[in-house]
Amino acid sequence: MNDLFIRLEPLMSNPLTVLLLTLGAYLLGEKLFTRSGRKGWFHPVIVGSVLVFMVIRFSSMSIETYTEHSVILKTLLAPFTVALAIPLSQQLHHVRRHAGPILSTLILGGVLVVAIGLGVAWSAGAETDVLLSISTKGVTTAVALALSEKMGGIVPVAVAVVCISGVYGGLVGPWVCRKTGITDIRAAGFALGINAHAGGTAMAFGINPTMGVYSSLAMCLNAILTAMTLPFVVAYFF
Amino acid sequence: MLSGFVTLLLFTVIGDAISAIFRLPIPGAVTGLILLVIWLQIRGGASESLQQVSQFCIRYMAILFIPAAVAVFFMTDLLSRQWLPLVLATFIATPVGIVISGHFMQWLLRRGEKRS
Repeated sequence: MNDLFIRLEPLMSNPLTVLLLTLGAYLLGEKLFTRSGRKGWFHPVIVGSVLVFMVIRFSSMSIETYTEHSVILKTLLAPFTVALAIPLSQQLHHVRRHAGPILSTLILGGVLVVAIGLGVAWSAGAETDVLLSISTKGVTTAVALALSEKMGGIVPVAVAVVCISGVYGGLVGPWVCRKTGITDIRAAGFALGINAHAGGTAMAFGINPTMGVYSSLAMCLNAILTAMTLPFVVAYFF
Repeated sequence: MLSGFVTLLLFTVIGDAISAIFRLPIPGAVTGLILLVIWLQIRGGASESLQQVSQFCIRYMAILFIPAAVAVFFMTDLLSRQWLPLVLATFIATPVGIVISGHFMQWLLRRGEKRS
């Protein structure tokens, strides 16, 4: 029996095992997500990463081995991000029609999401590297990950902050908009896209297609705006 | 599907090259994304293959976040020290941002429509 374990040991440090574990956990997470009626907190990334964590915790695989062999997934992030160009290009005509409101809100909202996040965290005593990881909270995860890496943030913390902001923003965002009197679906969608990225966009599409398009547009535009400006601001202040 | 994926890779590598040449702190993927938008605007649309690949990539992009999300569970030291600013920044700042940006844009849109 012991001999069998020794023979199976190399399997635990095999890139394919890591790939199977990650894709399998996501697939299970997605099944649970659909089963639960697409309840926000059962998001496949959250369930999937808890499952992977449990496997690492209770098997002989170490987190170092997992990180080392999941590098292929990180590499694919760049071309997958570039794929956002296709929907953005198709939605660009909305920007031409409402250029003033869209661009003004983009700039105000993009600055606010960073400023409020940092202000609140700073007053609660956040350390510098934690502040850096919070500064990307208005950017869709793929870009936030790359940005955080470039700026010296704690990448896993940055990713967690973005994912949780997205899921939470998608859940409370539409309710908050209704309660405070944001009745224009374009404005509500755009605000969701800036502050809750993919989580907000998924919710927005569920409520109304126009709202979804404006949310998706805001998500892509804010990712570009933040990626082009934040590194310079951070280099100046930190 | 293959030609679409090659297009994505091509723009990713061009983006990385530009970021490297000009020593930009901007991730190469974002530079590539901007260039592809410009290219699609000039060409007047994406090919069938590029559309299919892009849909696939966006549909399953979240899988690529799992390795980073898993690593958070192993940062117990940091989280027990810094949980308060992290919780406040996600749970307070997000709805506040939504309300302000939403009202601002609604105000601008209404003002514009009254004028015309």
